[in-house]
Amino acid sequence: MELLERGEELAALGSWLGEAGSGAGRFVLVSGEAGIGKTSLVRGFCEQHADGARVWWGACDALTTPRPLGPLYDIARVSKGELAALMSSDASRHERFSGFLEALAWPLQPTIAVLEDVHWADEATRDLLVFLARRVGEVNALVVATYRDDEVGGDHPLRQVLGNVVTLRVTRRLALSRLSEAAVAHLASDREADGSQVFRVTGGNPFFVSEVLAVGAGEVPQTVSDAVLARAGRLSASGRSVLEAAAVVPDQVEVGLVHAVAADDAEAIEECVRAGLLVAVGRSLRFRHELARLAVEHSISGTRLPELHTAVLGYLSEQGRADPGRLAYHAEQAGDRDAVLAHAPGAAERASRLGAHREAAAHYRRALQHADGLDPREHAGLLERHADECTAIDDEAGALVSYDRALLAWREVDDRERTATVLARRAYALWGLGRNEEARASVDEAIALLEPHPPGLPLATAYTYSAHLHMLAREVPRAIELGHRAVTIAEEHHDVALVGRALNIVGAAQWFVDPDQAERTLSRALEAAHRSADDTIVGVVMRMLGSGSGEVRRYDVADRWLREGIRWCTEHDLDIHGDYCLAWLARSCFEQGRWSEADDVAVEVADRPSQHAPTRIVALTALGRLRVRRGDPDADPPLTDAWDLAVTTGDLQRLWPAAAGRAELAWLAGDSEAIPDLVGETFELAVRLGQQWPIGELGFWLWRAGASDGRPDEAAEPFALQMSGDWREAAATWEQLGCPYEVAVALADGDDPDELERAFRILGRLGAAPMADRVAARLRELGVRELPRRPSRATVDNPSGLTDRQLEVLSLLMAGRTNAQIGTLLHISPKTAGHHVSAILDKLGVADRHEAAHLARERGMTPS
Amino acid sequence: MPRYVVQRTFREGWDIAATREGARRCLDVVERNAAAGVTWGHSYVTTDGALSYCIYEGPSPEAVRRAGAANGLPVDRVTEVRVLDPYFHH
Repeated sequence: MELLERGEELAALGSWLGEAGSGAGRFVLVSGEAGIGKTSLVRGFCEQHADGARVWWGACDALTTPRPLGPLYDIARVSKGELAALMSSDASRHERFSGFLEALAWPLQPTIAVLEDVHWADEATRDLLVFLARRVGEVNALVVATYRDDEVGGDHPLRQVLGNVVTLRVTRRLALSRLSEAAVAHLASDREADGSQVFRVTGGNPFFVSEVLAVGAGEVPQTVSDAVLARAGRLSASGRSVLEAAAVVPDQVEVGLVHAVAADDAEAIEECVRAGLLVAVGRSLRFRHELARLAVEHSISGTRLPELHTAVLGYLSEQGRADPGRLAYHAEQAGDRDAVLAHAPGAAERASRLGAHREAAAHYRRALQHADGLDPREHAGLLERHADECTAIDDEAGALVSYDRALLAWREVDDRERTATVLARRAYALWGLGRNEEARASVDEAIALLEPHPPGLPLATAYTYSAHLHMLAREVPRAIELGHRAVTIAEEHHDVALVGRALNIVGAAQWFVDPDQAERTLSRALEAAHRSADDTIVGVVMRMLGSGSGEVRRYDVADRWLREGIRWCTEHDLDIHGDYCLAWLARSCFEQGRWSEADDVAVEVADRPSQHAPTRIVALTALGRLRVRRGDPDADPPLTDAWDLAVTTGDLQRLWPAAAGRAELAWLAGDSEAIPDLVGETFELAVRLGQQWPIGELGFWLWRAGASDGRPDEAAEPFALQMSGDWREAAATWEQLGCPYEVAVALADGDDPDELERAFRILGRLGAAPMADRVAARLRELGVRELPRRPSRATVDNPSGLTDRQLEVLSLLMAGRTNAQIGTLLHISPKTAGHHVSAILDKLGVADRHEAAHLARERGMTPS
Repeated sequence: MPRYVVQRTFREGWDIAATREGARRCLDVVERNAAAGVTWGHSYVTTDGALSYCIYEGPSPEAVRRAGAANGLPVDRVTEVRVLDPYFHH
């Protein structure tokens, strides 16, 4: 049938292909209801450009559990070469994705890669879509993904993918509309049918229109199904049996399969093709449309259906090399319990290896539904693996049910090591559900079972989980001790991935007692993670290096690893960890007084589609605290949101910064009485866990409010100094740490007018109006008449007011040069360079050289 | 969209004359504001040009500050406000 009313869409696709051909790849989303003609459009487009582009075609299919990376396997089969070899190897998922991207870049012609029906995509294919959209801009390829927008509701997993890709520069969208009445009338007139009646029944859905018209004269069928079945009803008996055999296979059907299952009758196949119901594609057949397949499948009788699936299963099993997911599907439809148990676990393992954990869990669940009477050890193994996959997709409740059943099963067969391993993993699920006491008990029992025997990997695993739980609860010494034990055993058994995971936890805990050692330990963890070639663990360790050092205010280390973590996670699509690093970078910039950068980064995090709670807590807290210190409106909503989210985690590290932000807001608003309620409980928690930074900050607010002495003995040094009245030393310590706002706050506690003026200048540079007002009031109290001029950022007439020499210094500063380097380059002493830098900071009204560089970049200056 | 008063202190005084040059500079500011998603309503400037109160609409205080930075305009304080019209209460 001709392609009507798609001229604009074809032209748009053509121009995007042109852009792709010049090296600026495009990612196109084609959407519309079933039957709207997405495939017809894209096929028509590909045929138009058959001479000018290489076309690759892969489809997701309507199996109850989709084949992991199904479309990529389709393409690999056709493309041959390196991609085919890569897909049949045991390469990692990232290697497969990167290999596909490389294969897309073909110097001779642009490539059109079509990924059809991605509303059915498995988890791994959905990740592939995001991966491609983020990178296709660099290659000469057009990636076209089609999907049914009316089936992608609010909680459909494709939503997340769409959220990630629609804002990208390379993404283009085509939403297909139905045919107009005029177009339907035009088609109908060719067949001598009543156009307006056809339009009324079909609403202009092109597939429906074509089916109705194909039925020909007589009554117009009222549904797509009626139309399809009316056509099918005219087939011969053997033609009808061919159609039914093809209808029970939701993807392409091999001709051999039809011969084996239906009739060894080439004429019958030919009849179906002639009738326009089936389309021949090489040695395979497919329905002209999935809607037609469904209509025929639903018309098959309940007794005939399992027979057909049994026959299909028999054929596929004999062929060998069939996708285990396909086998499992037909086994289940055939009601063949043994076959389900034979194929579903294999399908699950394969899905898990490719990162399609949702599909893996579904295959295990399918096997478990048929597992009664199975060998108890096999049954226990299935339960355990199902639970592991549930954990991988954050379905802790589902995981717990299966872990509990696995536990009973392993106990029944008296397998100590498996029992213990399940107990340890189960603890993690319990913790995720907030059942912390039970989690402890579970992992303790695991250790008690294993410790009397020679140490092996199960014990190392149990120690690692236990260490992790202790670390999360900030029970630091015990976490370190358990982690070390795990490392020793894992090293003896050469399990480098486990070494990496255990060292990561040891290092995380060491930040709170011995930061130098923590950095060394985490560097070792990173090395082990790289050696185990597990991209995710590498990202996790970088995140730990960045946020852990940030929490103890080692900003050089923090910024370095946060940026490195963002880079690594972007490269490997580890969005959860990358976004967390980004949120932490906002916090780090905020604490170091680089406020405009903090502001930019916090807004960037807020724009990400990720709703991961820890990331949101960190970003919202940074944004709220920034508003508090600037005196901006709306400081309360982000802090309250962060606090509410933190309360659900119950973790000190999440609660403490939000509580401190709320206390600061109350204090600046003159409402000190509110402070004990805002921070009291969190302070108690910090004291119980012996954590000096939260004790310091929250104790400081209680002390400020006159509600407590703030426990200076247990507090981090600068807070302790300030609470004991030594504001000078406190300011000096804050200066060393690199926290200018805190320097000013400490100075403001004194009564030395010179130091108060210094505080006033710092606060002015930062743009910290409320605190600056307080210091100004204090200066007036001390009788200072002439307040220092409030430094302002710049003026319109002379945006920076810098001299030529200062501009020269600024551009070197942007390039990250030190005073010594600037001195050498400009033939001046480092001290003179330092004077220039101070003058620049003053004129720009910024707190430090980082912010000066940032501001200069905003104004479009380039470094030299 | 929330409305804000932005207080600015000018060290050298704010001098936008009613000339072609002044008009061009205002339009530059409007254009950079648009990039940050904020709208400048109007401003009250003290006669010595040292202080101004500017009425802005924007999605967040951060957006107002970002526009200020892009224009090289100082920001002392951002306060959210509502309109109160005395002649409405008659």
